[in-house]
Amino acid sequence: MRALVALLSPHRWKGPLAEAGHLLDSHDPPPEGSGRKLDAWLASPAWELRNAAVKLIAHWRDEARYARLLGVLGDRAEAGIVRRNAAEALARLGLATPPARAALVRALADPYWEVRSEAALALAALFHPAEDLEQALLDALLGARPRPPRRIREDNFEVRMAHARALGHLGLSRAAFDALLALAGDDSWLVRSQAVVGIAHLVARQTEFFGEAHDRLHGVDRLSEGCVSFFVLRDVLGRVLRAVTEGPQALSAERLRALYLDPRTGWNRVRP
Amino acid sequence: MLYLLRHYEAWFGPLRLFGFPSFRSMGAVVTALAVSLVFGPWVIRLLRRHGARDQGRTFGGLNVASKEGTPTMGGLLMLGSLFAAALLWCDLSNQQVRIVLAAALYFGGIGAFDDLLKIRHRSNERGLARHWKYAAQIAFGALVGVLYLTEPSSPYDLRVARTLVLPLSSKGIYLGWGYMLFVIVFMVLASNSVNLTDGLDGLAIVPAMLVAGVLGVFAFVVGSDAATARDLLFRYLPGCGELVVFCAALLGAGAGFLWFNCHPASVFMGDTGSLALGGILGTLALLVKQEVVFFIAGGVFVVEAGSSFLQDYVGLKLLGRRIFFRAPYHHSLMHQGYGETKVVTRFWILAAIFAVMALATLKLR
Repeated sequence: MRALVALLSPHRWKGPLAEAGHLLDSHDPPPEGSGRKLDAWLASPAWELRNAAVKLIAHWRDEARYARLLGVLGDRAEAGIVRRNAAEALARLGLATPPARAALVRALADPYWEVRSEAALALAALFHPAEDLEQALLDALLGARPRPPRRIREDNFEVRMAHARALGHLGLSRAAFDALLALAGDDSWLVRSQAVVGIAHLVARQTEFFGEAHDRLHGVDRLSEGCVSFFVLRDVLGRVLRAVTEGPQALSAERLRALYLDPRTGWNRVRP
Repeated sequence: MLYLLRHYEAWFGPLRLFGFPSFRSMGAVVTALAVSLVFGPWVIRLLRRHGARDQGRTFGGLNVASKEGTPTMGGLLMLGSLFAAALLWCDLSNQQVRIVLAAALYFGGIGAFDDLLKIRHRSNERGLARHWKYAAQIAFGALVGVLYLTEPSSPYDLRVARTLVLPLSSKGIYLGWGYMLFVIVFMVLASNSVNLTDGLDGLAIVPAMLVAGVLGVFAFVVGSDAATARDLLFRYLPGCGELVVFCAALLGAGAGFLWFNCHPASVFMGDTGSLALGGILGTLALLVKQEVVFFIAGGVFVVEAGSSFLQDYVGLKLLGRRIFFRAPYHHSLMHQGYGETKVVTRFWILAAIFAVMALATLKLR
C-alpha cells in the first residue's frame, strides 16, 4: 500500500530525492539538521527516499542511526533494495558488533537474493573466521539439515558467488572446504572463479587442505563464457595456481583479494 | 524513379521489368547494400572526425566501457542507404510509400536530435528527455491516426482502416475511432521496443530485418492482387504491394549496416537508427494491417521492452526490488557471464523462430 501511494504521487518525492542525490555526491560533512531529515526520510512512504537515507547513514558514518540499519535489514516488509543497501551500509560502517552479526546471519535467509548476497559479503568484510559464521553460511548454502551428500540448494548465482567469497574468508573446517570445492564445480563460470579464489583464501589459513587444494584446483573447468576477448577465469585460475604452487607464504590476503570479481566494476575486470 | 522506366516498354521491351515489384525489390536490396558498403567507411570516418562517439556507460554494474568511443549515429548510414534504394526503386506516387518514408525521416530526426544532445553533453544520460520523446512519438501516432482514419487521406476503405486484423482468424475487431488510440500506443511501443533492444552489437538490426521480411511477405499477400489476398482470407489492400519494395530496401540497408555493426562493432546505430527502425516497422505494420503479427514477429522486441517495463515499473518503482538481474533482458544474460556474441546469436535464433511463427499465421486462419 505504502509503495502504491508513493508510486501514484512521484512529484512529492522529486525534490527530496534530488537533495539526497546531491548529499550523496558531496564529500562535505552532514549539514545542520541532517539527523531530522534522515529520520523523516527513513519514515517516508517512498522507498527511494528510505534507500537514500540508508545510503547517507553509511556515507556520513552516522553511528547514532546504526540501530535503524539493523531494523531496516530485519524488516521483511521493507523494499528489497533498501534491505540490500542496509546490509552494505553495515559493512561500510565497519561496526562488527554482535547485533550486526546476528542481523546479517538472519539476512542470509532473506527471500530477496540481493539481500542474501550482500549479507554474506558483509559478514566476510566485518568478521573474522568463526565456526558459527561458517555454519550459518553452510546452512544457507546447503540447507539447515545436513544429510549427506549435501547439495547446494542456493539457486541464485550471485548469492553462490558471495558465499564462495564469504566461505573463503570465514571458513575453517573440512565442511567449508568441501562446499567451496562443490562451488568450484558450479555451472556458472563466475561462481567457479570466485570459488577457486575462496579455496586459496581458505587454504592460506588452513594449511592441512593445501595438498588436496593443489590437486583439485587442476580439475576445475576453465571454460568461461566471458564478455571480453580474454578468458577471465583462466587468468584468475592461473594466478591462483601460481600462488598455490609457490606455497602458503605466497597466499597473502592482499594478493588474493585482488582476484575477486566485483559486480560493481563488471565481471570482466580483475582488480589490479 | 526507375519505376517510371516501365512507361518506355514499347521502346525497349525489358523495361517492363521495372513495373514488377519483385524485380524492383531485388534491385532495392542490392542498391541499399551497395550504398552501405561503399559509403560505410566514409560515413564512419566522418562520424569519428566530428566526435559522434558513444559515451561510456554502466548498466547497473555491467561494465561496457570497452565500447566507449565507438562512432555512433550509424543510423544515418542505414537511413541514407534506405532512402537511396527507396527513392530509386519505389513508386513514389504510392501513398503508403510516402507515409513510411515520412515515418523514417520523422523518427530518424528525433533519434538524431537525441544523439546530438548526448554527444554535446558527453553523457548518455543527457539526451532528449523521456517525456519529450514520448510526446514526439504520440504526435506522430496521432497524425498518422488522423490521416489513416479519415477521408480522403486514408489509403484504405474507412471500415477496413478502423478494423484491427487478428492473426489465426479471418475476422477482425472493428475499433472505430478507438483505433486512433490504438495507433498512438502502437507507435510508441514499436519505436521504443527497438530502441531498448539496441544494446549489443548487431542485436537490434537482425530481428528488425526479419520483421521487415515478414511484413514484406504480408504486404505482398494483401497488396499484390485481390485473388491472392482472398485465397488466404485477407482483405485486399490496394497499393500495399509497393511496400514489398520498401521492405526489401530495408533488408538491404540492414544487411549493409550489419556489415559494420557486427561484433566488435565499428559503428553503432544510435537512437538515430533504433528509433527510426521502430518507427518504420510500426508504420509498416499499420499500413499492412498486421499490428498483432508485428508483436509476434518482433517477439525479441517484446521480450526486451517487457523486461524493461517489468523491471522499472513493477520491480523497482512498485516493489522496490529487481525482478531480473538487469534489464533489458540481454543485460541480464551478460550479467550472468554469457559472452556478447553468444547472447546476440541466441537472440537472432529466437528472432528467426518468432518470424517463422508470424509467417505461419498466413496460412493458419
